Formats: sequence, structure tokens, C-alpha cells
Amino acid sequence: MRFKRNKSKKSLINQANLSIENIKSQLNHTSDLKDREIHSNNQIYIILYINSLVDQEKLESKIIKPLIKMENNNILNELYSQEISTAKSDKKAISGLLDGYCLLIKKGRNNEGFLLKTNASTDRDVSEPIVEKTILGAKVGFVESLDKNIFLLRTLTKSPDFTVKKYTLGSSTTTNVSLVYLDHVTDPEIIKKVEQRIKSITLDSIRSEGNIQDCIEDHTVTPFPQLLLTERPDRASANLKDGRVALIIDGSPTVIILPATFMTFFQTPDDYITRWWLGSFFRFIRLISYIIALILPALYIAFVSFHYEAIPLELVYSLQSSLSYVPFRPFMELMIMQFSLELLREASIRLPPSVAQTFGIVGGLVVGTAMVEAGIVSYGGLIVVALTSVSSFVQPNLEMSSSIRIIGFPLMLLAAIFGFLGIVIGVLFVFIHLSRLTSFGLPYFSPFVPLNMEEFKDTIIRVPSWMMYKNSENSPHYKQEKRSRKWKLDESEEPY
Amino acid sequence: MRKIELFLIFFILPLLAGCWDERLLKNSRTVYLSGFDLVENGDYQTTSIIRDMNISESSRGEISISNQLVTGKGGSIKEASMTIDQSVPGNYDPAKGRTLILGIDVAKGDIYNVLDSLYRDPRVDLNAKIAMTDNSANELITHLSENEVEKGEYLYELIHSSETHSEIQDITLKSIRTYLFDEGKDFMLPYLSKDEEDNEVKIKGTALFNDNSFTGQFLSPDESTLLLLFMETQSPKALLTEQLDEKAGGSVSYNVKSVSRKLKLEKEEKVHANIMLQLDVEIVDYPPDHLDKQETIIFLENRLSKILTEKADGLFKKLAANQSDVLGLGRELIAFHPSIWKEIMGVNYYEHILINPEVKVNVRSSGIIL
Repeated sequence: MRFKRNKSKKSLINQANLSIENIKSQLNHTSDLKDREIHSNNQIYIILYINSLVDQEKLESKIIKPLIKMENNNILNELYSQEISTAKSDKKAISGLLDGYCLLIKKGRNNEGFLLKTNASTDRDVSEPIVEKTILGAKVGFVESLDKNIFLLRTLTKSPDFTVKKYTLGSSTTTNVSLVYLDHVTDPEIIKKVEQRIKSITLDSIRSEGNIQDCIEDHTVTPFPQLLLTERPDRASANLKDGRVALIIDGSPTVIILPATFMTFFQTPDDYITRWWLGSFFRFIRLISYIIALILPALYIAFVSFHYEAIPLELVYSLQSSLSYVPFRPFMELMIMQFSLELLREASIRLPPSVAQTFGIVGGLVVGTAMVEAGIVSYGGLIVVALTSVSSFVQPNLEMSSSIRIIGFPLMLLAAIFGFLGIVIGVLFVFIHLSRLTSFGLPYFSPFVPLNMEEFKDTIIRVPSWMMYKNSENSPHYKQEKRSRKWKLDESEEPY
Repeated sequence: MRKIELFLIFFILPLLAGCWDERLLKNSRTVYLSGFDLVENGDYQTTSIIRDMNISESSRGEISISNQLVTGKGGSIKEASMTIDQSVPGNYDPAKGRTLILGIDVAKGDIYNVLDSLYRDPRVDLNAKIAMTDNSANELITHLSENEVEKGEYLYELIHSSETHSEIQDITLKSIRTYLFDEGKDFMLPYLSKDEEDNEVKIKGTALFNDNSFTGQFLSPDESTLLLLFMETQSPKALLTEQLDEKAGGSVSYNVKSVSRKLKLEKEEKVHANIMLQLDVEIVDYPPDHLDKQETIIFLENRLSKILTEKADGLFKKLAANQSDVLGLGRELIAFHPSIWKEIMGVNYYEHILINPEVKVNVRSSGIIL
């Protein structure tokens, strides 16, 4: 290592003296590293490129052809490449080659090197997002290309404030990451923090957004995600306009939005497309379903094993009648059911969609009823588990809905041991935990803790957009025009 | 190592049976109706119906209901329920019992003796209705268990509907306790009896209590409605029917919409309680019609006022004879005239109170026709 570093220093001093042999050996004489010598105007040029990374046609028509036909030796004017930079060192040349550039070396006393953009793209077409579906929202999802994703974001966020910062992460294999934000809208503190944290990543290689997430989130020991992963450009763009930062990773169709608070995970583009009554209703349903999914199994256990006097009389008898055949304790009964549901869920992801449907019917209906009839679970337990899983599917964000499962099991356990008391204690702990969490220094459970009435306009309900303006000066958001419905005043003043 | 131990403990914990105060629903035998009787040599007898619902395996989810009648005797109510517990599979659990029936022997004694164990159990439904029967509770419950199998909470609904028609006082396990320990207030309980002709359990009226025991006298539903009006605790529905003479068209039914009571207590030789009751009524049944005419209304108002004043006189004589201060005049005296109360306080304070009721009826509405 030490030796290598010395070498690169040396080549920095002795500018623009590129050693072809050195580059080749650094790339381990890989067989897809090709070179070609061209004689033109009494000058020898050597083109070095990695065969698999460059667009062959681009290379031929835009680099090699003009190079051969070249009249003078001014490369910068004669070649058709959209991006030309000088390679000042072997190291830079190598990283350029790995990015799909081709290296043009002008032989001479000093080997002058130029990096020309010829990279091939494997972009797929923009398609509809699969996980985050909406009814009315845009039918566009992010793709695996960094540039295309930035393009998608930019078209939705036309502003001179739109800023992109590029980073290259990973020491043995590199990954390009772009930080996107709206200057003047985003809190500079947050940008500073994000930059600092990204720069501190010293991972060997970045495999997925999970690696970055692990490295930059505030708290790792929590079931609650503090970064929002989205595959929707409209969602990302809306968050940028709200003063958040987007982190785009090359090769991944998922964009990280940060900092995310608890309520961010309950917002969907649909809320803002539909009228505000409907949007508020959906938002409310989502929150309720989150609570149901979290507490319902625990409540069932507590009711059935401690507090059945709190159930209405008729229900007691019907619950009891199906429970009396179940040989397990309520906790085990629900665990068996939950576990088999998790199996079904996991299995259906791996199956092709055509089979998955049949599988869902066989797995869900047949196994469910058979389990009740065999006396493994009771009707009550089946209803509870089914309702819980339906409620957890309501969550628009995958990570948030899996947090339910992580917290739900301990809650069930507490309910099985202490009844209602256990649930109260468990929920209390969850609240305390939520209140203590931060996301890039911002309180995670805001606007509930600390209480901020101004922010409630876009949490449990969504108020009409003309009411969304912010009063507080230090808010990182756009100061929205307060009087978007001023026309009403104007119209009423018109004489008949 | 410690972490593994901790993990093992938490993993095994839910598998261990018998958490401290766990009461599994499937192991409990839920009582739906209980009755208490006094039997020979001072023992208590508890009679309960345990209801079971069976989902039949063969005919896919068809539900059949069966009632199990259980009885147990013991020196106390708790002992009696322990005796029952020994005879039923599972845990005998009176917590869900929504109706409690007191046999006539129990009601004649201090009923708190029976209720005490119920108050000590934190799980007992405090909104349970209490009623007494003119016979032994055992007989009534046996009859119910044989004949009312399919009707969910028959007795509870029966009592509840009478309450909504202002026929009986709204008494629950919770509210009765204040009456039991209030020296200036008595109460009345629904008086159940088995109608031999129809072979059905009916509410015959309300049983008057003095202190904690049954006086032996009960009021008819009409009388208790009137009494509830005097107490200003009637439900939105308080339907009364009065017999008028032939000339005036037979009878009139009316619903009391609102009540205002003026109570004046004066100490002379005795304590005089002058109660002026203003009733705003709605005529609901009056075939002769012509309620648009002022004369008809004035005639009705006068007649009804007169009839009701007479009835009230009779009613309060009945209360005085049994020393049952359902109206709570003692409480009134304690609160507003402590000096008078000091003179007459004691077990028989009601003897010193003379009630002069006066009823004034105002016809306010006649339904959607005149």
C-alpha cells in the first residue's frame, strides 16, 4: 500500500506522463482492456478502453473515425465526445476507464492523456413503480441509472436551486452517489451533516442503499426507519420541495430521502392529488390501521387470557366456544397463526405472479379454515391475525410496516404475561423511544413531540394547500402564498 | 453468556403455563344469571345459569346454546360459589353475570349480606341489574333455564326495557350501594314473578325497601311511574293511562315530556313536605279528539291533575305505611334543613314526615293530529 501511494505522488509531480504499462498492470491485464494504436498527422495515438464498458459504436464513429481523418493535432476541436478531460495521473485514468471512459494517449516525450466519454448505458425504460402504487399519481418510477434518476427529479423540480453533488464511495469497488437538494430551501445544517456522514463512509464496497442507510442514520438500534426509501420521483420531488435531501445511488431504482420523521412514512402522493377531505381521510385510515396492526393481537391475548369480563356477553360465549377446542395458550395460538402468515407472505414474494394468486387462495383460505376446524387456532384468533396483516398492508411504506411486526411480537408477549398492564407499559416504551429518536438532529416524532401545532396541518389530516403556508420564519419550507384563494374576495366585490 | 441466558429466559417465558393471575377464557365457566336464596338453618343458596355455546363439528359452524343450571349451598355467598366450583368443570366465574336475583327470604333480611362478596371482587360487572322475586330465586332461575334457552339476556333485557318506560327505578350493583349506606334514602327493586297462566317471568312492579330490607309491599308499574315522576328521575318515555268517565270518552293515555318539582319542607307538629309537581304531557291516545279546542284541553288538564293528585295521595300513604323513603326526603332534610333532621333523625324518621302532593298537568302536545 505504502509503495503504491508513493508512486501516485510521483506521477502527480511528473504531470501527464502516463504509463500504459502501469495502467495495464494496475488493471491486472484484464482481457477486456483493449488498446488501439492510430497514426495520424505523424503522431501516434493510443486509445485504451475497457471493451465491456464502452459503447462500441460511439467509440468508432465519434472517436476513432475523426481521429484518423484529423487534419491538425488539436484533439479538443476535432473529436465529437461530449466530455473531454485531461487525465493527469494514472489513478485518474484508471477510475475514468472504470467509469466507461476511453483513454486517449498522445504519445510523445510526455504521454498526454485525455478521457473521452464513451460509456455504454444499460438503461431500461422508465416504468410504473411496483411497490408504491397510487391510484392517480404519476406512473413513473426511478430506474437503475443515476443520470436518468437525476433527470427524472429535475423535470419535476424545475428550479435554479436544484443542486447535485457527486460522491464516489467504496474503497475496493466504487459506487457513484449523488446528493440532491434545493439550495435556499433545505436547512444548510442538514446538508452539512449529510455531507459529513457520507464522506465518513469507508466501506469496502456499497452493495445497496442498505449499506449507506446503516452508516448514516442516527440510531441503528430501533425498528423505526429514519430514512425514507422511495421509488417514486413525484414523492422524492415533493420531499425536496419540503426541504429534504435526496440521495441517489447509481444502479439502484430506490432513492433515499432524508431526514424522515415518523409522519413522513404515512404520506403518499395520492393524498395531495385528491381533494383534501379524501386525502385527510386516507391519512387518518393509515394511522388507525397502524395502531390496529400494532395493538390488536396484543389486545386479543389480553382479553382472552386476563380480562374477558370486558368483552360483551354475547361475544364472550362465541369466542369461548371456538377457543375451547384450542389446546394452546392464546399467545402460542397467535404466534402459530402469525408465523404461518409470515411464511405465506415470504413465499408469495418469490413466486411468479400467476402462481402467487392461486397460492394465496390455497394458503390463505384453505389453510386458515382448516386450522380453525382442526382446532389449532380459534375463529377469534384467525380474525385478529387476518385483520392485523391487512392493516399492516395498508402502510404505504414497506419499512414502516415491518416495524409493526418487530414491535408487535414483544407487545404480544407483554400482553401474554401482564395483560392490559403489559400493553400499557409496552406502548409507553414505544412512545418514549419514539420521542427520543432523532433523524439528522431533527426530532423524529415531531410534530407530536415536541408539540408543534403548525406542523399538524400535514400530519393526521391534510389541510387544503392554500392553508399549508408556514408562519415560522426559520422553517426550512417555502413560504407559501397565503392568499391563494384571494379571487373569492375579488369576485364577491364585483358589482352584479 | 449472559445475553444467551437472558434470551433463553424470554423465549421460554411465554411457553410456561400459569402466569400469575392469568384467567384463560377457555377455562372459565361464565355465569350469565345468578340468584341468591336463604335456605334452612341460615345457609345461603346460590343458583346460577352457566351458558355454553357449541359450534357443531358436523354441520359446519352451526351454533347451539345450552344452559347448565348449577346450585350450591354454603354459610356465605362465597362458600356457596365454592361449592358450585367443585361441581363444574373449569372455573366458576360470576364476573359476567349481568342480572342478580334476590329470593324473597334474602330480600326480607339485610341484602347487603349477599352483595358484600360481589363488591369485593374487582371483576364483577358493576352495571349488573338487581331484581327480587316473590318466590325463591332458585325456582325462577330453574324456570328460566328450561324455557328461555335461545333468548340471549332475557332477564336483563326485560328489566332494561321496563327502565326505559319509567316503570322501575334504574338500579344497578353500583348505584344500589349509595342507597344501602344512605340513612336518608331508600330504593325500590324490580319485583319479578312467575306468571302461572302464561308460564312466563314478568315484572309485577317494584318492591319497596326500607333501609336494606324488603318491606313486603310492592308498587304496581303505574304507581312506580308516578313515584319516579315525583323523584324527577323518569326516562324520556313515561306513559300513563287514566280512566275518565264514560261521558268524557273512556280513557286517555299520555306521555310525560318533562317534569318540574317544587318541594317545600316545613316543621310544624310534624314535618310537612309540600310537593308541587308540574307535568308537561303529550296526549298519545284520546279517541274523542278535538284537542284543538281550548275547553277540551282545560277539561283534560283539570281531570288529570285531580286524578293524579288523588293517586299520589294514595301512593304516599302506602310509602308512609311501609316507611320507605324512596323519594329521599331524609337526604333533603340532611342537606338543606339539618336542624329539622336533628330532631327527627333515627330509624323511623319517616314517621314524622307528612307529604302533601299536588299534581298539575299541562297538555303541551297532541301528537301529529289534533
